[in-house]
Amino acid sequence: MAELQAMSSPTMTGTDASEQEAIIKIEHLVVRYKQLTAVNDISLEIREGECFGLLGPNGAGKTSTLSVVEGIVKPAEGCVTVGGYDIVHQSAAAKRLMGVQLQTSAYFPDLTAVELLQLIASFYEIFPSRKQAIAQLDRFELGEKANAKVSQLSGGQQQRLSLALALANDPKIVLLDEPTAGLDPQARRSVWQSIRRLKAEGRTVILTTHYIEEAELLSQRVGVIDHGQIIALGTPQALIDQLGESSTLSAALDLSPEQLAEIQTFPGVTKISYEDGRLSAQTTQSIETLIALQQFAIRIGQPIRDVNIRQPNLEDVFITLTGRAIRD
Amino acid sequence: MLALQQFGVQFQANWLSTIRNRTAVFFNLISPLLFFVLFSFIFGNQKGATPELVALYLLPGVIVASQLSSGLFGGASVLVTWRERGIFRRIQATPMSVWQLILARVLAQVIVSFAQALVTVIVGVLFFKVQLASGGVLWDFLFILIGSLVFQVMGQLIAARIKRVETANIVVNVIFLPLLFFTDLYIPLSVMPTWLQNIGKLLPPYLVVDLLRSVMTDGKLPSNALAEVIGLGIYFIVMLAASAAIFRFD
Repeated sequence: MAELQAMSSPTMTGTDASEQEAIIKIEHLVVRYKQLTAVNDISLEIREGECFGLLGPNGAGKTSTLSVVEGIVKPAEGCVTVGGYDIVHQSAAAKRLMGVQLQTSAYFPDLTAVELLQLIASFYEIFPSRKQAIAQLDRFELGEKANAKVSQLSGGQQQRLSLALALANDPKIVLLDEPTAGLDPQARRSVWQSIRRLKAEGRTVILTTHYIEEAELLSQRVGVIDHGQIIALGTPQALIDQLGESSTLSAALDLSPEQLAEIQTFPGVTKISYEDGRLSAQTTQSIETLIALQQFAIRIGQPIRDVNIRQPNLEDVFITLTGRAIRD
Repeated sequence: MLALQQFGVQFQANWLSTIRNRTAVFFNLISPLLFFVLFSFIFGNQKGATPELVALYLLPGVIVASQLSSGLFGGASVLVTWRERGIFRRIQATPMSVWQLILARVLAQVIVSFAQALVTVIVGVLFFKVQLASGGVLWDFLFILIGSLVFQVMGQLIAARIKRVETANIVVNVIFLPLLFFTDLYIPLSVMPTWLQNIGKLLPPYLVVDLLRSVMTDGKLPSNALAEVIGLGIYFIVMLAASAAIFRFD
């Protein structure tokens, strides 16, 4: 576990990590809201051009950390620099480098999509023409909705509009707070496509999420955050590899405590849990464990239902470090 | 130049937001006109009165009532809505000051006030043959401008700490209704008890309507015009300073 926590294995496709300058530096950040310490001494560096994911459950401190980087919330302690500019003392210069999508969409309800984009751009002293603004919306498949108000857009369209507005100033750095929260799978994939495009354009992307799949698919590096602290940091694969060859074998069957204790002794089994009639066993020898479970089921006269062998993912990393699931 | 261009875009956005909001258009423009027409006919047909005389008395009151409504409902409620929706938070993530956007909104509302006043005068002239005193147009503009600014800042002060629109609407109504009926806008203050008259005469809507009524009906400034303008100036400065000191963006 200590090794996992100390893990930091930056990987950029085809590049040496040491060549990548840190564009955002977070040093000993502490954020407090009255009596609550939401962020408790976080230090991070985010490299130019990388997509960095901040993964953790609700209330972990993701949005609070991002809010400080965005310049919305002042830190109680610590220092954050963006592109070399201190976010507190040189906030205007720092903010010019960033485009932001907040967790909750904040729009003027009576303005159309194109008017919103022109308005947001004006905050950065950029004044696109109507034609240019519509072209920007077109990149997010919203060109036909240029004259629609936000209330007339679907959930997925609203999120894509949020992304379009975050790019109104053509920023080097894009900060996305839970960009796919509440979306159906199709809309989510559409947003992922847009985020991949941002990466391909060479922008630095920081996204917060509590979706494991999203963090694994989009992020080059992931910071796992819980109770205001970074508990793991590295590439998704490197973090998962630290778990060893461990897979999770799950199956539905009715078991007594004594039978569970016997399963704990099966080949390769390192950890088991049993909830609502479903067994989950972490194992380093998935085939041998499955064979042993089948033989066991025959012996006790029970069928095994709904067998699944899953490769480890970041949620397993989180469970290993904290003892609970991200969605608990 | 960039700052001017920036302000222009934001003014346009606020203007569009204002005129597209049908509820705001009704309460800020149509509702006061309804009062105007209704009261003019009802009280104008009383013994010793005519619709024209009553309309002449009411016209400045309707203009000030529209401004007051615009400042409180159009100002306070809208700012709280912006806060509730996270619009201020969104702007805080940009290099621009939130106050600049609020200023753009105030300017848009001031323009709306002038439009409201013009419509009210046209209705008064066309339907009730109201004859306004000539020679006071510049004073009319000045007092409409002052009144609009004071009421916008009043709305800003109300909105400074309120988090929810429902709460804002309650607070605005509690403040708006007494100011509407006890400051000589629609009902002559002289029919009120003395203690209420003394209070009413100190309040911003009375100060504005007294200045405006005197110029519109008599063509001259009231004898205490300077004191009333200074009073409005003090209200403006104190409310602006207070709202700037306590205003929360989240």
